Amino acid sequence: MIAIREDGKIYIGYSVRAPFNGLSEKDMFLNMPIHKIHGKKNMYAFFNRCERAENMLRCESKIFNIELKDEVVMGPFYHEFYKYLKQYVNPEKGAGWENVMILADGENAYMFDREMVVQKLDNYLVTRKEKTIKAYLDINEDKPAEERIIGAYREVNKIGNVFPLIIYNLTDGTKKIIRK
Amino acid sequence: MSVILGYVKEDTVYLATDTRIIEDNSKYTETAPLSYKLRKLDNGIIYGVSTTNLLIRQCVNLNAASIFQLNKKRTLDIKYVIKRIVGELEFFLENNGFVKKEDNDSKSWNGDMIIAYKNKLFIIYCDFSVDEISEYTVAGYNLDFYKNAISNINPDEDINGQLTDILSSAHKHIYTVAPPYLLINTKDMKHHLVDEPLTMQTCDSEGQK
Repeated sequence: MIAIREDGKIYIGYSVRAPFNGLSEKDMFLNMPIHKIHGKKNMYAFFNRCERAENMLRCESKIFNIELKDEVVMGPFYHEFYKYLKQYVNPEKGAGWENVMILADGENAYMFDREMVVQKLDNYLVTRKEKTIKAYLDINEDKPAEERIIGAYREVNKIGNVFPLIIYNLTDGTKKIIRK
Repeated sequence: MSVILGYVKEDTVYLATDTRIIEDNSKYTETAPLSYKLRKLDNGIIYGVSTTNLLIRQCVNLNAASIFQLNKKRTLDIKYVIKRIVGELEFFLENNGFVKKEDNDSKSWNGDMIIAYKNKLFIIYCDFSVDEISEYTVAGYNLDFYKNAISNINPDEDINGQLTDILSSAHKHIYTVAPPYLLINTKDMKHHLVDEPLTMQTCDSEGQK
């Protein structure tokens, strides 16, 4: 996943393909580990991998029904989410919960990494293939956000298929599917 | 590890697998109904376990009536599968020592499972995550081979025949797959054993043809 802030707008690039080897494209979209937060405008929780803890969130996503600001995300939400995850994994051990989450709306985005370290979106956030993607984003920082996201995914696609890709514009609530 | 193919067409789920059993250093085919890799329950659920550990399949079979129940509306949806069925499955597998804990305490088991009910198809993976399937899926090894084959199924032609062709084709390359092939769908709920393409035999619950 890539999150970019540009001119006050927030864009998220999300590769649909990664976790689903045996599924058709239609079913990849059907089972995307992305949760639209009920009752919140353009607020989503994006996961980069489907696993038990994420699956359960399909049933209990009310945990995300929060105000997306530092004092909530870093405070009560963090503790609640940590407590939730501990039902399925132990984030204190080793690689943590083998997942990465971006929690974002039209104004803010926060990334929870495998060790449950939280980063707030300033310029960009990257969840995988960090070196390749960051290098591309830095070199092309004068280009528009959507173009940078697509270009970065094309770089990663040279190593392994990552398309189709969805780009969410969380500020105006639109999304685009990019197939190659 | 067995392969199980699942294909959804309109209001019916078609499932297919083989009858090869691999145990230690021996391999053989087993066509007795008790050894079927796809099982049907009285409530209309059909399930199949793809695993390299026969004991896991037996454990699931023994507890199938408890694990695979319908929700209050007498149907299945993904939330119910995630919360209830996966919970029950994990409970039974863990009690019998089949669940492995990773370093970070996440759990996994040695297999994948397919569940079908009417027009609903779900796959439960080895890490207990679940996907809902609206087109097709494959449980087992060599996913790319099967996925490519199953994605080319023509929905206007005989589905059972095409699923058999895929398994038959796999048999030429993959030693873990062998005829006869076992077919069942959620409409007629009958097992069909297929030795060769075009010679389908229907079996009752005792395996009589």
